[in-house]
Parts: sequence; C-alpha cells; structure tokens
Amino acid sequence: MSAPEILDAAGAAALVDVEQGLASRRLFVDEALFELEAERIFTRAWVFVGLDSEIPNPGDYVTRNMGLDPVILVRGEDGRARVLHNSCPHRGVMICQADAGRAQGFTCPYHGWSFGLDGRFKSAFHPREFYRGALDFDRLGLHPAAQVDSYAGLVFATWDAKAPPLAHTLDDTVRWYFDMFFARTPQGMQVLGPPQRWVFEHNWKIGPINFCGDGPHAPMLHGPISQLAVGESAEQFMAAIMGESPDVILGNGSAILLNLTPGERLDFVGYHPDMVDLHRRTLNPTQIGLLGRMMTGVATLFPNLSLVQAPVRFEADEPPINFLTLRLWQPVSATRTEVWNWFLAEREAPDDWKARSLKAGLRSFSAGGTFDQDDSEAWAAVSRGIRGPVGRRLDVNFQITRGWRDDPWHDFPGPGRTCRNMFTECTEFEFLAEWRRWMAGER
Amino acid sequence: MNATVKPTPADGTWLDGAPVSDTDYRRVSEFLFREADLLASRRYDAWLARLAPDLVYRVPLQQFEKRGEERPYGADPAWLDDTRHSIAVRIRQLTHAQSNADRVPSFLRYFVTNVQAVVADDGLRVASQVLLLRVRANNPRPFLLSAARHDLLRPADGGFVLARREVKLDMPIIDAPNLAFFL
Repeated sequence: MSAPEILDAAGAAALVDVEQGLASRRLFVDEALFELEAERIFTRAWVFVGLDSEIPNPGDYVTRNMGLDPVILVRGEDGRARVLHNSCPHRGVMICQADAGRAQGFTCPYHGWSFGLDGRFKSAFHPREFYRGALDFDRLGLHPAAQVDSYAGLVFATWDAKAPPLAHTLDDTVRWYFDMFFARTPQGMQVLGPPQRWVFEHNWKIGPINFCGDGPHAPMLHGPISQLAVGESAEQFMAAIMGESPDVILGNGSAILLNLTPGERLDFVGYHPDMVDLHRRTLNPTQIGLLGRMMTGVATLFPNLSLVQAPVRFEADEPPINFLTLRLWQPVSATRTEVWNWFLAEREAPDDWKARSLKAGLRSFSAGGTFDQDDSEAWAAVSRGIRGPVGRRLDVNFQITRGWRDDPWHDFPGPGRTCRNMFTECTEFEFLAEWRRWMAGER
Repeated sequence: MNATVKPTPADGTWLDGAPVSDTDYRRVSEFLFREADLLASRRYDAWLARLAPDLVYRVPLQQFEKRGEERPYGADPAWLDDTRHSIAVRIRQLTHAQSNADRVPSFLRYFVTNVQAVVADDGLRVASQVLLLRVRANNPRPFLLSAARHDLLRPADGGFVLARREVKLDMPIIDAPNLAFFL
C-alpha cells in the first residue's frame, strides 16, 4: 500500500484496505494523521466523559478531555450534568485545574471572569458598565459540548450539534450486551472512587482494537497470570478462553468478546449470590444464559472506551471475584496515550464485596495490574517497531479475516454479527474499517 | 483480610512516640537498605520472607484538588492494595518464564532516605522516603518515582518483618506504562 502524502478523504481511506485486511502502520505513529483524527473523529463522535456517580451532588465536578480539548463535567444546581470547555472565553486560560472537587462556580485565575455551574457568565473584573456595552455577556459563557446524554449512568458528549443522538452509537444491539455489565440490577452500577491514570507509549487505537476481542494475545501474554490468578477455576478459565468465545461485531466499530464456560450450566463464577438474584430479575433469559457462563467479557465502544470483566482470585482462602473496569484510551500524541481506569460494582452489593471487587481489579487490570503489565510492554514495542520511515511504509496484517469474515456464527442467540471464535481478528479489523469511514468523511 | 489493622494515618501522627534507640535506628536502617538491594536485584523470595503473613500493603491514589473544593469519594482509591499472598502471586507472574512485563529486565535502583522511627505498642513505626529509578529496554528516558513510606516493622527472629506499609506516591498520574516492580 502506498502512503498518500495528502490526507484528504481519499488519502485517508486508502490507508485501510478493507478487502485485503491490511492497514498502513502510519495509523499508529504518524503525528499528522493524529492531528487529523483529533479533528475528524474526536470533534464529532460521542465520547465518554465520566459517570453520574462521580458527581452525585450539585456543584460536584471532574475535569476530563473530549479528544484533545479539556472539559469540566459538572452537576448543576438543577441536577443536570453539563460538559463545559475548560477554558476562559476571555484569553483561553484553563479555568479548572483540579482533577475533581465541589464548587459553587468557576473563576478564571487570570483576570477573574467567573461562571456559574451551568457555564453562564456571572461577572468580570469590573462592573458590567465599565465595558461600555462592548461585550455581550450573555454569549460569554463557557463553551458547552453540543450534546450531552447518558446511558446507565455513563455520561457521553459530542462537540457536534449535528451528530446523530447517543442512541445511534449505543443502539439496541450495543445496549443488549452492555446492559449485562452496566444495567444488570435495578439500581445499576456505581463507580468505586476516582480513576487511575497512567501513560502508555503507543497510539490510542491499539488498546480499543485489542479490547474488541484479540484472542491470540490472551494465551500468549496472559497465560501465566490466568493460571496463577484464577486458582482452582484455572482449567475452567482456560477452557472458556480456548472454547466457546463469541466475538460480536456490534456495528459502528464497536465489538464485544465473551469467553463462556463449556456446557449449558450457569456457574456464575465470581458473582455475589444476592446480585445473581437481581440479575435474573433485571436481564432477559438469553442475557442470563451468557452472564452465568461468562469467564471474561471485554468490549470496545468506538472510538476510545472499553470494558473488562473477569473473575480473579488473589487470596488463598477466597473464591474468585469479578471486577468490572471501564477504560478510556485518551489520545495525547501519535505514540502516547493516557489510560483512565474506573472500577464499578453493583450499587446494591455489600460494601465488603465492593472493596474486594475493587482489589481484584487493582491486581488485574490497572496501572499495577498483572494482566496490564504484559500488554503494555507489548504495545509499547509496537511504537518502537514501526516508527522508522521503512517501518511505517509497511502494513499491519489482519488478513486472517479473509478466511473467516463470510462465515459468521448464525445461531448465536445474541444480536449482532458473531464471529465463530476469538481468534479471527474480525472485530478488531472492523474497528479499523470504522476508523476509515470517519477519516474518509463517510460519517 | 486482617480487619483489625487500620489504615496508616495520613495526618502525620505516624511518628508520635518515643524515638527508637541508636541501636534500633541502625537495625531499622539496615532493614530498609537491605530491602532496597533485594528489590533492585530481584531477589524476590528473600524479600517475601521479610513480609509478615498478615501484611497490609497499600499505595493510595491521590488527586489534584483545589483548596476549599475538596470532597469525599466514598471508596478507598488506590494504585495497589495487596496482601502477602497477592504479592506472592505477583512475584510468580513477574518472574514466570513466559511473562512479558520484565522479559528483558529493566534496570532498577532504589534510594532510601529520611529514615525516622519511633517505638509503638505493635512494633516500630518507621517513615522513609524512596526514589526509584527504572530504565526499560529501548526507552532511554529513565522513569523516576518518588514516594513517602510509612512502615510498621514487627520484631521477629531477632530481626523484623514488614507488617504494614503505606506508600504515598508523589504523582496523581503515572508517566509509565505499568508498575511492574515493588516499592
């Protein structure tokens, strides 16, 4: 594949060869391409900004990013969650420099312009008359996201007023699966503290692509820790990984991979028994059939949000316990990505259970996670492998998809287009096909 | 879990108590320096032998907060929250032949300083500061991590075992891909 010099729509489209299952390695190292992504994807797509349970009370705020732009997610006195550009309309100063807090409003540290929790302009350094009518104060609020919406306590926003509603991204198919993680009890999930943040030395797309369902890396990178961390259920765990593993193309670049225990029996490994009763009351029988056999669930919502659930066991005298992590792959540069990692648990679960679930997650999928640490070194090595002029002329290879893409798992009971196992790389390549649509102006 | 062990107080009361004797100060210092050598040279089994069976090991997560706008978060956020058993699992993972994180071992160096110690009912309460330097393969930029540690050392077999450790990192965001080492 040749490398077009001008990345207009056609040039960007040529970087992913959907028929051949190839993509240019420039996608993972090219700074010019990264700037284009920031514009073409991250100013238009719905991106995750936080959880309702992070800002339970009026005045509660957290600072986040939408693409490369800093934002404040804040709950107003009216109870509404708003997303405001975190820079003063006067000179562009970042207004809110804390990670989180509770405020009555926001005041710019430079010249003292101040704003309400709803982002509206409140006052400047001088009384309004001093400005002699030259400023239209009603239009000088903090620039808001064009649309804000939420699903199951997860708050999303987009800069694009014309973007189709969130229900287009999180459509019936996506929600059918995501409800198994975020809406499986009457009260839903709650966040377990602020997110961990750390830095990966690779492109933001590598994580979400992997979380679409990268089967082959699991036994390769996670074989030892899977054996160590799931104890007596290790055999069950590996059987699930190597056996029935529906990897579902959800559409719009999103995907989910489930590793299921063999057979029909619902073991509910790693769930709290009381929660299982609530799951049965909340989800439909088909969803319960999958939940009860799930050893891992891993998914990506295009462009940069992922989730993982798995039962792990790090104590000799405790059974495996499920953690659930929500992960944002925050772009920083072509070869630098901040990982934002939240843990969630059922609101109805006992406090002790939540604490144990959090510990299970910290020990598995976190900055100090035993699973993450092997991934992160492999992924950093991608950047090192392809940063040279020769390396970036070559392709990344997904040609295995040509052997499997026309042979889906027809009778899988869930919606979406299901791949027969987790080794086909089809869901991962679908992410790149979606990336191509956004970059080529087809979205 | 040992429910009777309370988290280390963060308010500076950790060192309330009578200073240890000169002899004990020297023994405490040697414990910490020896530990630093074991960790830098990855003699993990020897390090593990110095951890109490009921060890409480926590690295709390901190955030940037504006004065006057702090608020509680309900959960106990952490980078790491481990026991002796979970640390043993980590060690088996990290040293496994097939493990990728440290397949090409990074260079590690620990500088331990500012050691203070007082006598308490349950052992010696120790505060120290640690600077870790880590250089990974193919990345010449050294990763520096500095932290304050509060340790509880319990007398055992003529020496000490580490019964509790709280490590406060001096960074709310970690500019590195993982924490594939111990502090």
